[in-house]
Amino acid sequence: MTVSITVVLGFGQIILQIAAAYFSYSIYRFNRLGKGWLLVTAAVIIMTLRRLTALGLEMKLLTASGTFQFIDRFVLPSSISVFLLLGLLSMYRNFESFDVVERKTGEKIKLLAKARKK
Amino acid sequence: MVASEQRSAAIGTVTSMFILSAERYFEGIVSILKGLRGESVIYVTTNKPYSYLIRVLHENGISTDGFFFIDCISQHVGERSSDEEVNCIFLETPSDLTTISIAAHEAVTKLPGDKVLLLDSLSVLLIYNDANAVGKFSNFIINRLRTLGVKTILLALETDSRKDIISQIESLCDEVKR
Repeated sequence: MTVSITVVLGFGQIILQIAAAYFSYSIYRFNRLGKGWLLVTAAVIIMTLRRLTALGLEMKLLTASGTFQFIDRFVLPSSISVFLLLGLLSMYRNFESFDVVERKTGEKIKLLAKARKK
Repeated sequence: MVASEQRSAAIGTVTSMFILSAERYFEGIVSILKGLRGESVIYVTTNKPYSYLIRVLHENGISTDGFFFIDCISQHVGERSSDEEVNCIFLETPSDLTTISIAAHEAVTKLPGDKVLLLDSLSVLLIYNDANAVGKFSNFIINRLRTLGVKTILLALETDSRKDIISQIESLCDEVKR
């Protein structure tokens, strides 16, 4: 019984993560906020794959070889961390650039208006 | 009515789109600018660098004193851009529509007096962005400026006029001139 609840929850988590990946990609398409945001989408997709393999192991559909464990426990989590870091850093820079453009434009308009008054 | 008179008449409306032929493109822009009635111009350029535009406009007898340029191409093509130019903001690329919107909105709201925003051009934006994004961007700019009471002039190449997205944007404009 415990196993079946875990399996059901596992499937539920996978569905939620697929939805998260979809919305993450939609944000990129909707706002065109930069290619960096795609890394966040990639990170969510890898998380989904990891959950899928974990479920496969739990249901004994997969066997955990040495290479598999290395990928599952080191490569994929590291990729998720790096992708999330780079993606969010890229988003941060984007928002920062919006702020810079807004400020610079405002300053230049002020200078232009002053110059015209003279 | 000659072309320049037609253009001048069209500028009296809030939002105008001009479909220009490639051969007489710049001539068309000069004619539009000469038809303005002393408004400040916010010139969004996506295909000619600021330094080139300034020179050519002066050569054609247009004073750029009342102009503010939003240059989306100089940095993209690696031309040196100076922060010291008071009447120009240099943006990184024509593909960043959000930043162009921010700069345009800031310029429109902070610049005093009557003003016109000239977007040169939808055809170039379509090279760097997908059609839906350009459609959303145009819709936002046109309607935002409409609510602010700012005249908007959009330019597009004749060769692009059959594209669905240009037809859709035309429907948002008060007047279309060919």
